[in-house]
Amino acid sequence: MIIKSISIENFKSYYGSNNSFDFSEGLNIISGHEGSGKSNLFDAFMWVLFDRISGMKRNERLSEDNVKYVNDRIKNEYFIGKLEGKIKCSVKLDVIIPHEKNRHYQIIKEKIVFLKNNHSGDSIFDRNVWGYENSELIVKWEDSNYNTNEKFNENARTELDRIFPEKIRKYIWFQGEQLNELLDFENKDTLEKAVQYISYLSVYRNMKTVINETHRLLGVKVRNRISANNRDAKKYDRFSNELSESEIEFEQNQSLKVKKEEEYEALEEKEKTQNEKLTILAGFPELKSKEGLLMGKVEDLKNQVSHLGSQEKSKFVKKWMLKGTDKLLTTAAEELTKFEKYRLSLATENKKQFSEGVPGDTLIKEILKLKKCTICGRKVEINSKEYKLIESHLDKNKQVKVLDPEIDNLHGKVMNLKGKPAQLIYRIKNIDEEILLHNETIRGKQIERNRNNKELSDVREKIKELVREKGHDLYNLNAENINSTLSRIRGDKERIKRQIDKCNREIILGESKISRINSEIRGLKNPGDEELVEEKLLKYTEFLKFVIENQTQKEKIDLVQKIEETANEIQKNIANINNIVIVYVKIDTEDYTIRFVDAKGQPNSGHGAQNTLAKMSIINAIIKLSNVKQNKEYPFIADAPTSDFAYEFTSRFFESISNTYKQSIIMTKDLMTEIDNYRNKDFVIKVFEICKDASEEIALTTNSITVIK
Amino acid sequence: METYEDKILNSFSDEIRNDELEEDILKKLLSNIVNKVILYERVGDIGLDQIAKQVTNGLISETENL
Repeated sequence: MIIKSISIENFKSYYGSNNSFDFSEGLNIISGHEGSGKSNLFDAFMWVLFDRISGMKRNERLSEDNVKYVNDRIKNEYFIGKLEGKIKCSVKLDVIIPHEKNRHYQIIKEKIVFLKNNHSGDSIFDRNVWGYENSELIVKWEDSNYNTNEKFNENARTELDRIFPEKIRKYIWFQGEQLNELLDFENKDTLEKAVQYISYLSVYRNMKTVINETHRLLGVKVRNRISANNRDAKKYDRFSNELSESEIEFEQNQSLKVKKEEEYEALEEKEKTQNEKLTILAGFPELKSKEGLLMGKVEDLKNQVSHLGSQEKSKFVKKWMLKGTDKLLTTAAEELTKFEKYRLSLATENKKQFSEGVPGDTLIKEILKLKKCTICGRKVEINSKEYKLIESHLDKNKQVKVLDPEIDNLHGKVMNLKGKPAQLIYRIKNIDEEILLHNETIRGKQIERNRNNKELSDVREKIKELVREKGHDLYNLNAENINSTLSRIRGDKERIKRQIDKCNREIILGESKISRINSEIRGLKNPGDEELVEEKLLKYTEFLKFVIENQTQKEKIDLVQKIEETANEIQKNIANINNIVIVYVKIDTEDYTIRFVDAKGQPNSGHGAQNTLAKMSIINAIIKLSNVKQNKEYPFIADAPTSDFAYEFTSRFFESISNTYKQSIIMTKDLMTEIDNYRNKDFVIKVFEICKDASEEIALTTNSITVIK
Repeated sequence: METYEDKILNSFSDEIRNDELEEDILKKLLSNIVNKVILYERVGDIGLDQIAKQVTNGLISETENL
């Protein structure tokens, strides 16, 4: 595949539709300062081919409501009302497929966004400001009759996978800064899948099926021919039946073995998934326990706030009601005071009357009883003027006596009541302060609750991030359940392994049985019979069965060794003139584990440029071997591959890339004064320079593209 | 230019030497199987068992005509 051009419209820093790069075969370099849009160009490739942009985790896809990658300047123009309608954000690739007679394809990714009516956001960065239509993938081409064909979305993805298989597509990427996000070098599946794809193993597998079946069919034909000419028909029939049964049994055992091996593989996959879940659980107990702790705290604070709230209702409502009666209470207190004053004045007046007008009660009572004055001895006549006067005074005294207890009683009551309004008024007087204090307490609890809630939501966000990254629902993970599933899976694996072993034994026995019966049948041939054609051909298919078995084993080992050799060769070519110490790639031919070692074979993963170079060389080796073995060429697209390299390394690296690939597109740091040197190098076919248009305002930035060579 | 089919056939070059068998027949048989399997992988319109039948019948008639 050769990429003819990429056209970018309103994607990331590429504003408008006038952003195209026309590439050539050979090495294409795109140079620019930091932040000039090189990585955004790389992202444009990623978006159209993988529906991803850099910074995303492996296997993560863009969500439809994420419109961050739509150019900010165009969004701003719609936001301020300068433009109206819908914004189209698109990336279009024009490619040529040499192994399809140079057929021309267009691969287009499009996203439509628009300003929502009545949105409440106050910036273009608010997510709720933008509405969207789901993104579309379109693949277009012209067939040999000049008819235009178009496929959309799922169908387009199938078409894309045909012209540019994802299995190899993912190896064409190289982003120095995010290398480990693009390929998982620690996972042996990474290399195993690459080997499966670039090798001839799938062809060999199908060839093996055809050869086995051809061999069986030839065997049937041989038996039928012998049977027709044979003198000992009964014996032949018996052998023939026995052979048919054995062959059927043999086939059944082989099919059962394949089925059981598939089941075993599926169980291994499940085991791997469960182990991964356990790792996730074991790796993040801190987050889980923190979440539990915060949930408890938040719940506790929620209860405290709710308790204080209900307390407020019961405690303050009565006081609030009383607060409305404070004037009435003051009046009551004043009335009571007035009444007390009046009572006191009344009592004083009576006392005065008694002390001024008559002698003491006891003395008067004595005089009236004796009917003579106890002081002068004079007789007191009933109904006399003096007696009546004394009696009338005594009546007053009686009245006073009657009045006193009532007044005293009332006095007590008044005294008792007198304090109440004051107490109530005092209580009401403090209610404002009390409520203020209470509210302060509630607010304190609410702040603490909100802080814990925020912390909880941060922890949950981290957990979500992990869920997204690892693809498992952490909330539903339970170590006990996982372990019990794992032990069940392991039990099943052992059982199936025993079944596979049994199948293998049966297959070996079956093979020897079939071979014995065949020789018995051949022994039944009439003397003098010539060798049958089918019989002769059986020797060929027998031999091919052996050949394909050997070749399958050889292919896998050879390819792993070739990846290792090629990777180390690429490294040496880049490093030898600079006397750079490299770390060597070592790949296990059995389980595809990648190791990095020093010249003495000791483990050494290297650092910085060493490690990047080693990993990059593996990727380059895979693509190089794929191109050679599949007879298909795919480009190498890299962003900042030299960011770890010393400056003198870069030129050597470019030369190595140009020798490895029919086409490569490299985005690299600013070449500055070296640009002329690169322009004059034969191995550099095209050089572009991209610049960010000077503007401090992020919403107004855009790129300009200049072709230098 | 070496085609994809050639490359696969050539991958067997070290393995298919056998003094007891005729090289021509062996190469033809292998080539026939490789071509049909590659076509099967690209088009997939008939199954592998049908391909085996075609290979068997073709092989017998060709050998008889030799």
